[in-house]
Amino acid sequence: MSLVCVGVNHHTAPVEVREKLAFADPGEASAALSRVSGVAEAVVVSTCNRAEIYAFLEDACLGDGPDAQAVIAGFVAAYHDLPAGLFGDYIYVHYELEAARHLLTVGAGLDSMVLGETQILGQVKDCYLAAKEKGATGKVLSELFERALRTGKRGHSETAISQNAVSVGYAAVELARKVFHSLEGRQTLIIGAGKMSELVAKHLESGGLRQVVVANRTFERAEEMAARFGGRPVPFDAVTTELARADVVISSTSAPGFVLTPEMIRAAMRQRRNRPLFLIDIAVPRDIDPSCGHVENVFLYDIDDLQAVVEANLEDRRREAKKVERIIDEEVRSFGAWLTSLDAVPLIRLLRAKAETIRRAELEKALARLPGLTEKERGVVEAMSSLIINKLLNDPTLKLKELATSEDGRVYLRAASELFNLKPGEEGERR
Amino acid sequence: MIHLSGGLYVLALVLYAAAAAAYFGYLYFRHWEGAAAWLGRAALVAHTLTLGFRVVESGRPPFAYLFEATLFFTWLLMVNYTLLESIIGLKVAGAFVTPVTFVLLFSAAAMPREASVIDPTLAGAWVAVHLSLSIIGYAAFTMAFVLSLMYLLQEKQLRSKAFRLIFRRLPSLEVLDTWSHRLVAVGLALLTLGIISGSIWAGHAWGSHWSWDPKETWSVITWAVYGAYLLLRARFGWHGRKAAYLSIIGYVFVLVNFFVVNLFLNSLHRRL
Repeated sequence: MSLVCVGVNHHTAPVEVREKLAFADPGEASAALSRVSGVAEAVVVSTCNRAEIYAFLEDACLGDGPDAQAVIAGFVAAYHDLPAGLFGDYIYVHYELEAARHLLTVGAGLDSMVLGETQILGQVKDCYLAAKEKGATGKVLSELFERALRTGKRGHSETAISQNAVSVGYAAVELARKVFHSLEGRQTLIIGAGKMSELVAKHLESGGLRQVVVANRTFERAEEMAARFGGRPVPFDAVTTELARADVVISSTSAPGFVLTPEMIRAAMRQRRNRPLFLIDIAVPRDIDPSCGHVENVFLYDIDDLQAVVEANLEDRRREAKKVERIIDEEVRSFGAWLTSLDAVPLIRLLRAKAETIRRAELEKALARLPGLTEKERGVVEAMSSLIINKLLNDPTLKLKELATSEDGRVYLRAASELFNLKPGEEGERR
Repeated sequence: MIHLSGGLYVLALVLYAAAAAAYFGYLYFRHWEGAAAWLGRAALVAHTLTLGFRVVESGRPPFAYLFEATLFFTWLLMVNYTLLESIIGLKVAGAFVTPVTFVLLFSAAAMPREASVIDPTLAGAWVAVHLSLSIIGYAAFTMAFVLSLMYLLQEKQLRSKAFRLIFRRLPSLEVLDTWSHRLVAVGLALLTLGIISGSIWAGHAWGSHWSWDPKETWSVITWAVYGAYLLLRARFGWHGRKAAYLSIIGYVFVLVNFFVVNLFLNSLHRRL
């Protein structure tokens, strides 16, 4: 047990806890932890939804889980100047390959609040690079984080986990893009300067939509909102004329009845020579008469339609998550094999050392019983003993190196250490 | 050479069938994209070679018989599609174009391949110009037809608000509408030139520029439908769905003109 992950996230801890445990400078914190005795390598990952510590521990902490946890927990308490053991209930701990799997799962966005989001991968990368820059990482955590970044990218490119809108605003953009090739240069008409319409408009703006016109019953509010979008405020009565010019209409007034009727839409469509018109109605009660959606080249979506899109997309993401999990399984197995192969080298060294000790002892005994040997004869006997152990150990050496990277690598290493009665822990030098 | 081009023809058919299946699979599985594009290109290469061998073999342009004309027509369609794919990145159209190509090419097998006597009037530069222009025009109409079908499919998804996977693969309505419009315009221009060149040649060969032969009649009807498309669109704002329906109706006339008239009606064009 030497690779460990200790953390809190949005599943396990409320924001009051997470904010206390957040690391303002993950790189610096990583460096501080890596200086703690017993800790060989450390990376602190801290975002608004999680604070996690990945550490690779030296032999002092080997074997006992609680020890590893205690070292990390002690560090966290000291670093944040908090009483130790305060957050025990919120903390999760993973060891070895489970710790690796956790990082890969986080990086792929499967542990995020919005399933499959891609920002987390960048945040993991930043935290890793910050730790690396401060010299807190070594061979093992570098390998683990490089693999996590690669796994995240594979998830994004090989599955549809991060595709398709999972917010109402973005769903509106996605639909608009299926009517208009590009949103660039399109005119937007916002009816009712509310929070919700502003949110959707922001999404459309980031999708390339320009030229915003805002109509509101209170003209001052139309002015305020238009100013934020660099747009143009118009009085509420101007909606009819603006309809002829707009391509996208977002309506969210608090009017009790319909603001847009099929007659208004038909008149507008005649003026705009049937160019497509995209209507988004996010008001409750609705602003736009649903029969407007039956007019040719008019596409109408209300809040329920958009939410249905989001829900369907989330369902898709949950399905894709299964595929990402398979990729993670694959990468964790491969990382496990790599980790095990690191153990092969010291074991081989032990095996060779043991053989050499036996050879020297037996050689001395033999030579003691053969006093009359010439220098040349002694040389022959000595060379023979070396040759025997070298030839005998040649195959096990090669095979151990090879088998250590296989699926059952650990079993082979264990078998070798049992058969030859080797005790890797006592050597005091592991990995 | 005949065996060679015959073998290549079968190979092209098999590759188109495989490409059509792969393009269809691509509608559901993103990673089929590469296989689909690769198979489509391979089929086009086999197709090109088939056509090339026939031309070398006979020493004349590939439209003396309906079999060759179809071979040429579908070839132009695929070239047209491949160009369009690289311009607007419309991979998903492959799921529509490759099956159409396959069916047309397959039915070509049942069409007359050899005539006992080649009509001497079917030789000469004017007839080559006339036939090439008409067939390229038909290929443009076919592509417009495919895009119109895609338009209707996508519009149906947007209206029913039941978005299936194909919704994400299909491009925006604007792209589909704009490009079917452009293709109809190009097709109509070519058809116009085809009719004019045919009329000039008929004046030389048959002594009369126009004789209301069934082919000529159907060509004028086809021309009128596509002319109406452009007119209604420009003057009365017939975009979108109405335009798509018109383009599909126009294509029915193209098919009748190309196959039915040639095969079944008594026409001076019969031997085409």
